[in-house]
Amino acid sequence: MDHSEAVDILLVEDSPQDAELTIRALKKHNLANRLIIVEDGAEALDFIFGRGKYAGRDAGYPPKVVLLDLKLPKVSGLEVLRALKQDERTRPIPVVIVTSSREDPDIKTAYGLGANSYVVKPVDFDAFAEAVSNLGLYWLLVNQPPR
Amino acid sequence: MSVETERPDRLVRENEALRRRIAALEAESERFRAILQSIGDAVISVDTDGRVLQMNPAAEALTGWAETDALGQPLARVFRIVNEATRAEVESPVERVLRDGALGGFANHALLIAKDGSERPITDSGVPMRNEKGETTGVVLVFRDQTEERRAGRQVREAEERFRTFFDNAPIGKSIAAPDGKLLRVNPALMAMLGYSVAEMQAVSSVAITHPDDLPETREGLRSLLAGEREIWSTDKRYIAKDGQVVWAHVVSRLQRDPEGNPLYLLTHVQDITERKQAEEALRESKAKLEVALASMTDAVFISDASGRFVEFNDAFATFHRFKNKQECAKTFAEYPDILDVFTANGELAPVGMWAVPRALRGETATNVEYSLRRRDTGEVWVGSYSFSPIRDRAGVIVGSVVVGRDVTERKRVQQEIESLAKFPEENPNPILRMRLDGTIIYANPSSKELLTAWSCAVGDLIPVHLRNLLAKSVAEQECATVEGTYNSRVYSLSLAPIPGTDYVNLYGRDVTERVRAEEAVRLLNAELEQRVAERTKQLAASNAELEAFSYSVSHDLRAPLRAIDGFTRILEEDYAPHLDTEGRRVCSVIHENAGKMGRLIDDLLAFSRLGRAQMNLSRIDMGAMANAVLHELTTPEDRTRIDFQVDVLPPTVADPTLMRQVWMNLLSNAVKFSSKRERAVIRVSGQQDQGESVYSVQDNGAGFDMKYVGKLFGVFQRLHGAKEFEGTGVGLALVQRVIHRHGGRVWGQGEPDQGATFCFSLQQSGA
Repeated sequence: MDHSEAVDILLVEDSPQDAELTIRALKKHNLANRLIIVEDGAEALDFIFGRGKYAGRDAGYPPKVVLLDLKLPKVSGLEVLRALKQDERTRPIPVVIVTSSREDPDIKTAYGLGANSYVVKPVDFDAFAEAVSNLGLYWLLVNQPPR
Repeated sequence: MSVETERPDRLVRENEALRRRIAALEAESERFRAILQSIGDAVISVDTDGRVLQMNPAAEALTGWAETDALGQPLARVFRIVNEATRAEVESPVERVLRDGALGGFANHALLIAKDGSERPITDSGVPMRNEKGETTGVVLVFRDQTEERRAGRQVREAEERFRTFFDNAPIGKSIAAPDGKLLRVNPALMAMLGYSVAEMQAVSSVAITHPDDLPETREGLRSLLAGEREIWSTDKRYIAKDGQVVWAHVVSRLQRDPEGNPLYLLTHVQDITERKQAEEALRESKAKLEVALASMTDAVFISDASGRFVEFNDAFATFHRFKNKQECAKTFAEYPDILDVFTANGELAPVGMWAVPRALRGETATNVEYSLRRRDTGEVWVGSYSFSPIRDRAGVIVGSVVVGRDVTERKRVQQEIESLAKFPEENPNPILRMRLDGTIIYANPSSKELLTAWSCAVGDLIPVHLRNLLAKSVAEQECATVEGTYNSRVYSLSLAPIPGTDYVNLYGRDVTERVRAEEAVRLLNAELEQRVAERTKQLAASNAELEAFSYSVSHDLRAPLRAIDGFTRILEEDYAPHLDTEGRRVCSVIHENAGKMGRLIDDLLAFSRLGRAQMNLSRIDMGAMANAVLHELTTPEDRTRIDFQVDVLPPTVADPTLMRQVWMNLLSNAVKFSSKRERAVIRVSGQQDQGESVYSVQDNGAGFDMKYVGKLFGVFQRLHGAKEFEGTGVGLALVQRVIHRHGGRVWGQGEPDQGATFCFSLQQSGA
């Protein structure tokens, strides 16, 4: 894994296939160069707060966007979200909820906790690829994070 | 005369004359003798010596001496007289005549003592006999038996005395008047009656003291008496007394006539009847008062004589007996049975003898005796309350009856009503009490017995203290207060009602034990039910949670593999395109298609299941606008040139807009879909209101359906057309039905293969 300090996208995804497809879609637009992928919520928090196996990482360089699946092993996506949005340091980090279904009962909770966006992963790959790339383009290129 | 010249002849003539004279004397003497013999007076002649010369038969009878025995006897022997009063010898009249030479008349009161000693009163007189020379030659004693005369005189005197006594002492006035009315004699009673003296009375005529108003009748009465038209005239008339007072008198006059029929006296009896007249006047006034009183009475009053004839009755009598007027009233009691039936208080037909009048006439006195009366002609019935009693004279003999009748029909009716009303609380199955303001029970109906027993009190006692407190509060606030209490294991609802303007409070109780028990049972049932509902809710909640989890799993876990299948198929196509021939690419395409289809199936299924759970937010919806908007959304401009849309004016409704939009979306998309093969598609949306519901329909001229499969129209995943013909998941109509049912409406479809279909749904017009 690339341990450089500057990270564009933190992808929190337990499904390797989804992760692969996501990265493939981002790559088509050269958006996956500085992308870190973690497989569960605990690791995601460790990364962001520079602890655990990411203890040496400088937390002063947060990712430009976090793509967060809600259904995760160990620490759920909602818990990750809550932790990020409760902390003054991490609250500005845009968190995009990426989920498989509109039916997710946690969507409302997620918005309440301060999720910045919500994206349903379509079954159709073309649509999926478009959604992901639009997402990457927006948050990496269009969105101006606070300085 | 000269004697010489006439001598010879004179002597002859003298002799002759003498002879004739003697003859004449003898004749005369004989005649005297005959007279003496025949006259009624006794005659005795005596000579101057007082010796009896002659006596007639009457003298013989009175003296008891025969003439032959008496001749020559001294008179005193034959004619013995004494004073009637003194019985002293009385001087014989003869002696007095002889002594005085005068005619002797003697006072009465002489008694002649006859030869046999009997005595009789006589009157006597003596006449001297004289010769030609005028010398007294004797005395003729004439006497008469006075016995009869004395008796007659005494009788006359006595009669006169009796008359005078009778006249003067009579208690009624009497007068004797001349035929012209001039008063000759009046008695003291009449004078006392009129106040005049005898002289004053005799100075006036009876007419003069008659009251002017009665003069004509008086004159007429006198006239008729004088005219002989009547023997007796009587009248009641007024006199004016000396003091000016009017004196009423009953006057009876009779005219006395002499044997020739000439009027002699007017004999009049005058009885003072002023008092009687005053009494009559008083009676008349009293009677007038009585009549006025009777007339003003509302009670019927009727007075009968002893025979039952009504002598007096008032106007109310007619009213009471339903006579049209007083003239129609029965006059005698005997007429009544033809008019009326009379019943006793217990309803039995009363015989006439038991009616009020006969009872009174038998001496019975009663008050408030009730009879029912029924008119025989009209059948009208009324109730009379009678009081009656006999009328007795001074001797106690019943001379009539007085009966007072009062129509008490209305009073009886009111009384019955009052009694009936009074029984109202008595008949009440609920306890009712009345108390003084301090809580003392003054009345308790029979149904309150158990309550009172439970309280251990009775009428006159105080109600339990907690109720007294409530009573005081209720009275203070003048508001009904209700409390429930359990007494002797019975539950009572007790309402205390203060009655404004009275000094008591009513308590209305009700045994609500059964209700309370029922309520308790219901409460238990409810609690149990709530428990069950809670359990069921918990189960449902669990089941819902499971369903949520299931839905999430379906959406998440089923879609992820699908996405992988589709995505990696694409990778295969993209990265290994040079290695894939046409068939390979076709296979990839099939995988791609089916993955997509399955994704849609999953989405529809989730949408359908979400419908059952989603919260409904009702608001007013313009259904026409919504249908138009959905149509526009569903179709492309090209579609719209091909399809003839007709959207009528639709009734608005109140529903969940999101769900209702899904209904229109599904129905209209179906219509568009199934009419897509028509060159000219016609889709018509219409709606109407009918009996409290709005009915909406979507009609197309598309493929339609066979009505024999109508039952499958609304089933989930049920399709009546092949996927090649028309695409679809078979969820749309099931979703429509679910939404409409959730809104309380109905949904139905009609169709015919190739002839189009019509789908309708109804919604309640709940205040829309």
